[in-house]
Amino acid sequence: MRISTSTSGLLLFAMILLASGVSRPQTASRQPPSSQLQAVAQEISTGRLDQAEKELQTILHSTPGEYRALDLLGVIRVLQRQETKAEELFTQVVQKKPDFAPGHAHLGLLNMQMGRTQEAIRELQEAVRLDPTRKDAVGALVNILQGQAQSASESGDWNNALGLLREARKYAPDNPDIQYEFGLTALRLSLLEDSIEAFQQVLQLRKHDALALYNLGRAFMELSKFDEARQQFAEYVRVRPDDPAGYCALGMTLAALERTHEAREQFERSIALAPTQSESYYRLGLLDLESKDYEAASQNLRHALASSPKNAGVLTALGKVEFEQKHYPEAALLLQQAMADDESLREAHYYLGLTFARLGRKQESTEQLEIASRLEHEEAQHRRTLLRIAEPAAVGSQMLPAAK
Amino acid sequence: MTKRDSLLPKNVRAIRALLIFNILAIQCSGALYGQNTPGHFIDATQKLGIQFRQQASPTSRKYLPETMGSGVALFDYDNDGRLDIFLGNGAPIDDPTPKRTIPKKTGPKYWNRLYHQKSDGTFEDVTERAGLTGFGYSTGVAVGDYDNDGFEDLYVAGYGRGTLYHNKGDGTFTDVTDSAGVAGSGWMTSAAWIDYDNDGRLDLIVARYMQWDFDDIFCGNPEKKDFRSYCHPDLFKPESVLLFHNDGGGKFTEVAHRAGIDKPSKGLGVAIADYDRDGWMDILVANDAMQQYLFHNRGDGTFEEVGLISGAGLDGGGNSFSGMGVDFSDYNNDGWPDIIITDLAHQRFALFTNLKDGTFDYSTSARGLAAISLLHSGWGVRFLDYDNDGWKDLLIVQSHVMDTIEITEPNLRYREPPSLLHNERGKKFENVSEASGDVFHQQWAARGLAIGDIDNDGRVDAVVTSNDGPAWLLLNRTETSNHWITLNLVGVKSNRDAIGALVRVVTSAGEQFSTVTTTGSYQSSSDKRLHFGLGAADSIGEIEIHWPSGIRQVLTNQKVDMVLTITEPAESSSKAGR
Repeated sequence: MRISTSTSGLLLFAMILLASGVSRPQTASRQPPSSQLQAVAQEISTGRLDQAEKELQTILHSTPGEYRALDLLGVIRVLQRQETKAEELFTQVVQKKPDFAPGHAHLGLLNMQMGRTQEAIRELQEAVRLDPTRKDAVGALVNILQGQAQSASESGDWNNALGLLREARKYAPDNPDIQYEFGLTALRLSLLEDSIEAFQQVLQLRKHDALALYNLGRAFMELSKFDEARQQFAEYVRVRPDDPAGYCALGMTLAALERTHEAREQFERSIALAPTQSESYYRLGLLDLESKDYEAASQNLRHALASSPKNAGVLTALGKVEFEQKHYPEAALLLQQAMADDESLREAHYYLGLTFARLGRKQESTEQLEIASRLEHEEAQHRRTLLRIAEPAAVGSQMLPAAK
Repeated sequence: MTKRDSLLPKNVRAIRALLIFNILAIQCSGALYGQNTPGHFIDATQKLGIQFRQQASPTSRKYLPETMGSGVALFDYDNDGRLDIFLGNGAPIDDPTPKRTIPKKTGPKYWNRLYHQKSDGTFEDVTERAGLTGFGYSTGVAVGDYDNDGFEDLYVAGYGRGTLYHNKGDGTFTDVTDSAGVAGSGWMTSAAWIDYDNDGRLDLIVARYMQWDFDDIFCGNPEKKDFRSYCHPDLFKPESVLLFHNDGGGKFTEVAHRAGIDKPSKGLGVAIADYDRDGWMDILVANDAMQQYLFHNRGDGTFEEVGLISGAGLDGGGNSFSGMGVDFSDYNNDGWPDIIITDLAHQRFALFTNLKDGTFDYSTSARGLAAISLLHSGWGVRFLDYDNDGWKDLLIVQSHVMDTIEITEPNLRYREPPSLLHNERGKKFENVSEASGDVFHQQWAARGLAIGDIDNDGRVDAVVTSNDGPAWLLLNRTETSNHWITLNLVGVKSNRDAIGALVRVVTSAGEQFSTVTTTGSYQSSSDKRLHFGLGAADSIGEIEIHWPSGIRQVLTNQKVDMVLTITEPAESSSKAGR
């Protein structure tokens, strides 16, 4: 988790000082004039801590328990690296004046500096609740949440990361970095609508953010919104014309839109920029396979295989090339190699099932086709979840009363 | 050079020679590469007196039958040589409707309709007189002369109950459902007449969609206002097809289990053909959101489902799709029936080319259908040669199943125009819809489609039904000088309709094949007569017929541009197998 260092903590406190509540006194009897407190704050900010403390002790002598004076004294203790004493003072402040936002903010920041994250979050949230305009508290809160989200992501706890980033977004809707991280995490969790919305926010805040464009394209692809995806990737290659991945992605959307000639052009551009890659060769091979140009398909797929010798997708496609040419033993071999790399590849099971059927190996054929069928069913369920077609079990509370 | 030509000035002759050369060049080019000949279909519905509106009875609950439509049949019920039209209709659905309800028609608004074609080509509504007003929520329609009495009978499938109407031959029909034993059960969709055991009597296959009832299930996005949608079929259990064996004497026995055809399915479309040319008719069932079924007829009264292993069960990537309409006919003139199945947008209409060894190749992309169908959802579909060039084209009627689709997918449309795809000599289909008349620019929630030469002018016409909307009668007015022949086969030993007869027509341009059937498309029944476009050929070298009885008949040197009735002979023309 990323927590501010003590140096940055001190700096933060210096900033807090300028933004502290001393300029906004809350009227009450026997209170010192705010000008007096402002003068103290000024002294603190210029490093004259002894003088500031002397004046604060004077105030506290005449007005014992004056919360703003206690708060400023706490700040002095922080700057003197006497965190325990500072904490006692800030705690007194929020006990005496629970609706004093600076007190909560300072206590939160101190907790943050001391690595007590949960306590920090609680106090900072209270500060923001009392005064939503407190940039110090908001900034610190977002910083903590972002750090926690990063830790959660690193440990693979995407759901937790997403929850933290969702919270961070509430506090900092105009922070493009938070929006981007939220979008990326949502994309990893296949929460595509959320992901799309976040990347679109990033692009409103940073118009040509290349990574946001690329990932927005990915999210649209996942949702089978190919034309929307195409638009993002087209913009991406305009922003980053030297990135072969962009042309490949653009080619994939065009292929999905059955604009095969244009798709082919993009794959070829990608290859021109990165001749040793496998993806664009693979995609070209698939286009050749669909158009039944088996020689070209084989050539492109072999090219892809040279860079990724065990790639299940490429091996499957090569298996299909052999299958369609009725070279069944060769097809079986390639498809089995594909499954050795990725057992969950439905298409490999399907074509191996067909291949075994052609070879008269009925039992094995049935087994493979059954696996393919099961995987297909699972994929279909997944797709429907993505499309958010709600099913009764999932929306039980939304079911209308049964017909009478 | 003729004497008359010699009278022309020399320069005129030269210009004329050049023109002739150019014309020949264009024709040669067309013959080699095909031409994107657009069609020309006109909407003659009102002009010819058809006034029909299918009542889907939409409710706020989005009960699934509301979006599935009713079918249409084109058949000559009174043997006057002109095609008549039968239109299925819905029934009222209460909002909400209690479970186990079977909707019933409550008045003329919901009646099925029979339109009789008069000698002047216009139609008159003879429903009531014919006794065809109907019973419940009608879905599919199938025409076949099940008792071989020379008059076409009618099976009307429905939700909860189907009805068999016997044609008495005097313009009226009798409901013989109960005595025949073909009422069926569940949600029946497309039906087909087929003589699966070649005993000379037509049997009946009825597809069923799934185990569905009037439950109040919410589907859609509850967070979005007004966004309740029709439920995905995955929520419901599949249901097997029904196979009624014709025992003779007006009796049928349901034998789906005995015949091994009772696999759980979600059948919407049915088509028949002998895909392996073994002399026994096979059955294709288009299933929604699961694999497609191809039932291979073993010839012993049983079937084996071979969809997956034949390669016709899934798309080229091994994915299932939402099969709806289907046709099973030889589009590349190689003599082996191919398969087209319509489905939803983003799935691409599935074209399976017969590889002549019992397997099929998924040819959607290679034949140009992927790009054409990517954003379309198809229902009724038929191969038909609209321009008589000798190659079967495709007519597809379209609409998404979800009337809310535009909310979730703004690039799709609920209502869509139909598509006309020209067959480029079996190599590719080209979309010629844009230039084929106003009807291909209309936005319809189309469902059923039946084809036939309604005005007997040698060009195949069509009738289209829509969900909760009108029906359209589309007359083919495509300008062409191509020749044609329509064959009306009459079985003697075989079933009288000759359903299942395989016909090969040979001209100087090559050969073509078709199988007699009334089924195919979606919930609809087409003219049983076989139509062949002949291109420039002005005579037919040979017509070869393999009758379901096994009799082979050959006719030679036939004239063209006519309807030719051929009666099954007592024995084969020569020794030849199928």
